[in-house]
Amino acid sequence: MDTRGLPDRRAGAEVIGRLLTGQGLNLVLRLFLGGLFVYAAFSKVADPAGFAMSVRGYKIVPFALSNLFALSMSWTELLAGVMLILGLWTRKAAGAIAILLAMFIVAIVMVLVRGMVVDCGCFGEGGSSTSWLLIVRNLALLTAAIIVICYNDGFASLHAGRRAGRKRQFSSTS
Amino acid sequence: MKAFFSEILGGLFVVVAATVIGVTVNGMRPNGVALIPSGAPVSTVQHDDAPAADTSLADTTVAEGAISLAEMKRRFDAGTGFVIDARSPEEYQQGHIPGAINIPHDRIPEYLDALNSQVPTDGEVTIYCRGPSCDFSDLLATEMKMLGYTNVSVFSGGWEQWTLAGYPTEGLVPK
Repeated sequence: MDTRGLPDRRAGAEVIGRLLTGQGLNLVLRLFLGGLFVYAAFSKVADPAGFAMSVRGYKIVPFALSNLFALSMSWTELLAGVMLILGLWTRKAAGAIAILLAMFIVAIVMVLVRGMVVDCGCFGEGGSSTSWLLIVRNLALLTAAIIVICYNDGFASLHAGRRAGRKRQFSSTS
Repeated sequence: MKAFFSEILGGLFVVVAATVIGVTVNGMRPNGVALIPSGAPVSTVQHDDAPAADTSLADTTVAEGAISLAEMKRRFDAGTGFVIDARSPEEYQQGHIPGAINIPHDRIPEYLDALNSQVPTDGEVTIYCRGPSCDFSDLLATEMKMLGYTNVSVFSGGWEQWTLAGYPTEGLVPK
């Protein structure tokens, strides 16, 4: 019946596909995620004791490991954020961000299921409390990280990894 | 898919590298934290599976580190120590034990200056929250002990027992 709809839809899918895999979107997402995580890491790295308190507030990580866990998370945010901005091993940096986000989502779900309300500690002290909305936000950020992992080709990067590097070589010789 | 997981694995290496950097820098800076926190978590909370979470006025035995309603009343009348309300600012505004200082358990870093300026580390500190099954007081007591407060106890009966006993309160909602 509706034969015109099909090619239109296919064209639409192609546009979305090209957008998702495009260099422009990837650069924007990369810089956005990098900036956000460097910003988030700043107060945590500056005040490790305060962030360790936030970690203990969730009552998930064993007490004895809470300080080490807090150090590891805040410095991963900082390092991976800087790597994303500069374009250093970009996909691996986005992989680290994805691991963090997945952990945040699990932690917030656990807290909500147990009926607790804790300060999320997302951007240091005095932030918002845990909520389902926070999970939606983190899922959106996780999607962005996955797009970077899958489609980053080393555009505007210091170091892009082997695959993208080879691509760049080809284009410079042709 | 395989490529995707190899990038996630690479992400794990980034986490490990960041942890090594973080631990190294932490060791060199003056306000670094101990890798393993000293002390132990305070635990006075009575969970539902414990024998009858007691909200009656009977002066029953309490967990280690906790004080009873009678002892709380004695401390309140003596007025020598510091009473801390670990609930949210909203709950605190509605009503609290007169003279209590509000340090919301989930916003300790934010309230740290207020705590330090009002409560000396050797002061007699009593923390309460909603009632026997509320663990905010335990969390706050744990952090305060780590901050160097030496005389910290939890009034486990909390706001529930205090108001049930008809003792004085202050706040927006008159009792």
